[in-house]
Amino acid sequence: MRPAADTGEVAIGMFHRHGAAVRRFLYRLTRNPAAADDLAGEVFLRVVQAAPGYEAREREAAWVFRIAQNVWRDANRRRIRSVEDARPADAASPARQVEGLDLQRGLDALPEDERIALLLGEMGGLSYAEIAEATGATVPAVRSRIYRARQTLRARLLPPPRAAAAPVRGSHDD
Amino acid sequence: MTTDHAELLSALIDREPVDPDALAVALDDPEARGALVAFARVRAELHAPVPGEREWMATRQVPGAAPPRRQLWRLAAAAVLLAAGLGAGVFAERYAARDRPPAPARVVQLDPLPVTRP
Repeated sequence: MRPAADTGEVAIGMFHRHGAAVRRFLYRLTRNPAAADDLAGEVFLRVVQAAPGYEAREREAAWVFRIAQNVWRDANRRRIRSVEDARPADAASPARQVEGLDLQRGLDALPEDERIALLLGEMGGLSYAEIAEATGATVPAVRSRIYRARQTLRARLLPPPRAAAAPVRGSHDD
Repeated sequence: MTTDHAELLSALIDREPVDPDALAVALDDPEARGALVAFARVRAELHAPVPGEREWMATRQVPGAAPPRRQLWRLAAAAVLLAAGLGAGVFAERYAARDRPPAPARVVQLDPLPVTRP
């Protein structure tokens, strides 16, 4: 067990290192700033409570994001998910807002296992093995889920590649 | 583009180990290269700030954690001010005592003598 002062220092350090990413992760799952605030606060409350037992055997980000995933699952069971999103993005350009909305719609359209795998990898920087452990999947399944999620988002965010220019038909074609 | 090529590049940007020979073949595939660029764009979008993030980070304290250093400094400053105030009070009390008349050590009471007029 760590002394209480050490626990506080550990929790503060984790908050500074992972707070923004955890909240972003939860915002992408809830689409609601207030819900993301509440859930991220709950994540770090659990971090403080669990910090005395934290051992460095596990990578810190993987540990924090596993807690975040559990908080999200608990919240999802309580059906707090909301589609409200009235607040504008932080200093975002109109183009980014449009892209952001498309991204969010793309994320919403993903199957949950793909969305969670992608966000744990992107937001938390978890390895495929860590995601597999957190989600109870195999490493090849995680690799496949993340790839499929990326392809879906790619199709949503980016225009399809231009088709090869059709040959100009001239009079000699007749 | 084969699925394998794009999937391999997807794993590459996730820092997963990939076969170098397979990577060389995948990078020769123009469509797989296009997918790699698209994956990078998706990543950039995912890492863009989301609504309310700055406010949350600015105002949030870790619940139950030890007070931050700023609060400790404030507490220390308050303690110093309190000690200085007490010290000043004691000094002022002693300084004022110098100009005060001494307290009587004993009291002599004079009673009038009985006087008889001739």
